[in-house]
Amino acid sequence: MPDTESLPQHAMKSLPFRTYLDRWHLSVLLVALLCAVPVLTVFSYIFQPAGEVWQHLTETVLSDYVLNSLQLIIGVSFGTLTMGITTAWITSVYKFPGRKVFQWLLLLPMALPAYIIAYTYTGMMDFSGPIQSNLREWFGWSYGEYWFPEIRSMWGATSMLSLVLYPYVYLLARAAFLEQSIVALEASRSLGAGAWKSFFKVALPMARPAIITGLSLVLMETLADYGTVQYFGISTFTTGIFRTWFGLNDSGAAAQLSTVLLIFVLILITLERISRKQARYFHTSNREKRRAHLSLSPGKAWLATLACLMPVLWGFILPFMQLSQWALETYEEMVDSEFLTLTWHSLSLAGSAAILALVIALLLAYGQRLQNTRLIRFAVRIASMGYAIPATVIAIGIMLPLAWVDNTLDSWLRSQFDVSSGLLLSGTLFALMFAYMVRFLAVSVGTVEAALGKIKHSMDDAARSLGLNPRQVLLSIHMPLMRRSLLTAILLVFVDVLKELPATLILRPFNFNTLAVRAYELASDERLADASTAALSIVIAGIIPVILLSLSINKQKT
Amino acid sequence: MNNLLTLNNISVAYGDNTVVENISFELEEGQISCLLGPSGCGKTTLLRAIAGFEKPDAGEIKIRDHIVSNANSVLAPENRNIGMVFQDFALFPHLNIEANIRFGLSKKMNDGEQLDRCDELLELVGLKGSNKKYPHQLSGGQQQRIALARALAPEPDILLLDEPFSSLDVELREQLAREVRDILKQQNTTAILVTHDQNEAFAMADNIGLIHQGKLVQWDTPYNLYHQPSTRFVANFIGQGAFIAGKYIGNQQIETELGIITGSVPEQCEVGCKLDLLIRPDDIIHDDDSSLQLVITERLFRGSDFLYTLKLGSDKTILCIASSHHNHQLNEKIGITLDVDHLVMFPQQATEDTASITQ
Repeated sequence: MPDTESLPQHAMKSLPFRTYLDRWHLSVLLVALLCAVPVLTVFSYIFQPAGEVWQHLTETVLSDYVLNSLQLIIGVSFGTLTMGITTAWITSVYKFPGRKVFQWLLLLPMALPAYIIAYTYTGMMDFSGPIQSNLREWFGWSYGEYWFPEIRSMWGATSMLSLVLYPYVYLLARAAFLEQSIVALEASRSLGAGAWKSFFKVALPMARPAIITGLSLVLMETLADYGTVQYFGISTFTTGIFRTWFGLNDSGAAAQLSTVLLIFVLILITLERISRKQARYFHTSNREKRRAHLSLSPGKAWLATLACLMPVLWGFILPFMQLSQWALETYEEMVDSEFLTLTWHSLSLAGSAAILALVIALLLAYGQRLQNTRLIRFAVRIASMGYAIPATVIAIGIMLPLAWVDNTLDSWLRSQFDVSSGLLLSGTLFALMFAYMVRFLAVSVGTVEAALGKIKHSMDDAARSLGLNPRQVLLSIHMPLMRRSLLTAILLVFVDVLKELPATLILRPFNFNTLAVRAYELASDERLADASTAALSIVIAGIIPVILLSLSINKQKT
Repeated sequence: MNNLLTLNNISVAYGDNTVVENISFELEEGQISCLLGPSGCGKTTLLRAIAGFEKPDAGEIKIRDHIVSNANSVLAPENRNIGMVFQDFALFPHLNIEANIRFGLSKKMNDGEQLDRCDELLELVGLKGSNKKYPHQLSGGQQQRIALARALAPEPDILLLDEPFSSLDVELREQLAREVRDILKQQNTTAILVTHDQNEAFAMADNIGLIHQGKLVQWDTPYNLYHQPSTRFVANFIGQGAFIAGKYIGNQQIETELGIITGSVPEQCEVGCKLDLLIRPDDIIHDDDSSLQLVITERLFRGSDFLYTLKLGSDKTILCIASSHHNHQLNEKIGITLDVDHLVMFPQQATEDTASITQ
């Protein structure tokens, strides 16, 4: 009888249970720690004594920041809830002309970054813009003879943000409405409640957790917005952080402002978590057959069409047409070698960020699959909290420690060897990439986790029992099954990075421009038409994830 | 001796929690055996240790003459030449049936040979011609057969089946269990089935290992397991029945509420010692003329027969199967006689609840 010694060595391996435990834990924890650096940095400034600038800020503008941010939050909540819930309800319950098309058309405004729609509307509603020009022509008015609303104001910013953010509410509310079983509504009708009462007493309360989740995502984006409020001249936390950082040159005060902003965000995260938990209790059995869509009288049906058309028209079609028109007028001038460089910068930056995020996401997801300990689950949650943190805050939280490392290293090298290392980390693409990872890792982690979750462990075991080693299992089972999802993860991060503005503005290397930065700069210089080519490229890229999203929604239904 | 599989004192633990404790058994070539036990008893862990997915903390596992696991080292599952059928089948959704079945075939076989083997197996499982279909296009029963074909294709030394029928409809289970047994016997495949369902175990297995709390309680043929349970747990778990109290009055005779019963009394039992006797429904014959009359406290109509629960004077109950013509009502008295063939008894335990057990 041969003993274990005589077995082929390559075949005898102690199982990876304990050997790999440390390796997975270490790498996942490292990622989580790096992702937590910005938040930790910013919070550490709480303990710094408040400087003069902070004194000055609290005495002068801090109350403005708080009030403006609150106004914005309330306004955007109202706008997105109205548009999101109405359209979600109409498209999930009623039959009306164009219902199927609107299901995904309503998502399109997501493709427009808020700062782009903001300056597009500014152009459209300018004195010399198409709307005022036409009004003057039709009614024979001339300058000063009529009142026209000023878009560069609080209500303007609220409208702009609402128009591009309502799809979050729409998506989640619609999913919740579709999940509700017809029985609950029928029970309500059978108890004598009319259609409206049933909506307010049954359907809406049942969808509430989903709607709150959608709303908290909207508000996170609202608080994170820099481009729109800056362009419209509204002082909020993000613009305040920029001003303190670049204008007053006080990094400590900027970090302290960031902390205050983070407290707002923390409230939103808590809100979101609570409502996600509650959502479980609001699930009705979804084994029920889907209701047939209810018929409406022709008049009401067209009204429904109109209600769905409005958000799409204002939130996408009009600004898109305006951008296209400008681009057609100016592209010959604008598309020069500099533009090509910009495009290359944007594409390569977004591409490498997307791939890096995917690699890290794979590491986290596999760590979680193979070592599903509480510590790893916690670490993965930490690593994917960046979606909630304003990019401005992340940028500050990265710049401060990297600059410290650079300075320390530089002065040490100077004193020891009389050489200067310059800026090794801060002010290089490394810093930028770091920020993108922190901010967008959640996107790829979510996608990869979902894909990996669908591959049952028994499938791995089956492949092993049929003679494949772990590497072969990865290649011939996991990769083919996950290919589409991995591609989706890459695309989503790619587009997010392409659109990203505030972190890129703060962290980009000197004279390094991207499409987003260029569009923003040209728009700030009131060269709206010139900005359109870059802006339009971003918007068109932004349509890709919207299409992916609507495809995956359609798939779930069949 | 031609042992295909040998387990020597295998123990598996998750941390401090020992789920399989000191289990040994042997399997001859061509035998089908079954690990039976309530859920959580460690049977699946034991099967996964045989497959190589779990590392035993002690003991050794041999396939033919090769040690595949001992306390120091474990041969990876892919190098063991085992086949495994999973509870959820685990067919690869991105591959069609043909590719699924060919998945484990040796790279030495050329395409033609592989396709022939694939067709052969599809015919064996009765799904000829479904080569190009995808798993989601098949019913649960068909997926089960493909999973079996895929596991058998590389001609494994031993086939491991982990609750293979539990995700199927009840009507389908027994039929498929018989079919699978026929296929395995026809191929002379050695197999181990894990299940919590004794009907499945009885339908499939030559030998059954009953596992309770990580320990192998009895390794025996289905017949012996039913008629000669080695412990109270086995008696309770397998089949239906109830314990009644008895007193040994000498001469291999036991006095009970049902009269004096003769049977082989355990050696350590002296005259006067108290015993619990297992009375199975098939030990009791319904006989209207019998002088032994008992009250019906529950009746269950099962189509071809009735299962009556009868009350004894001591408030204990026994079960009786009567043909469906004998329709009696609750609280009616019916006559019974005893026909005890294999008397099963254990020394009485004051603490243990010996009331009737129904499966």
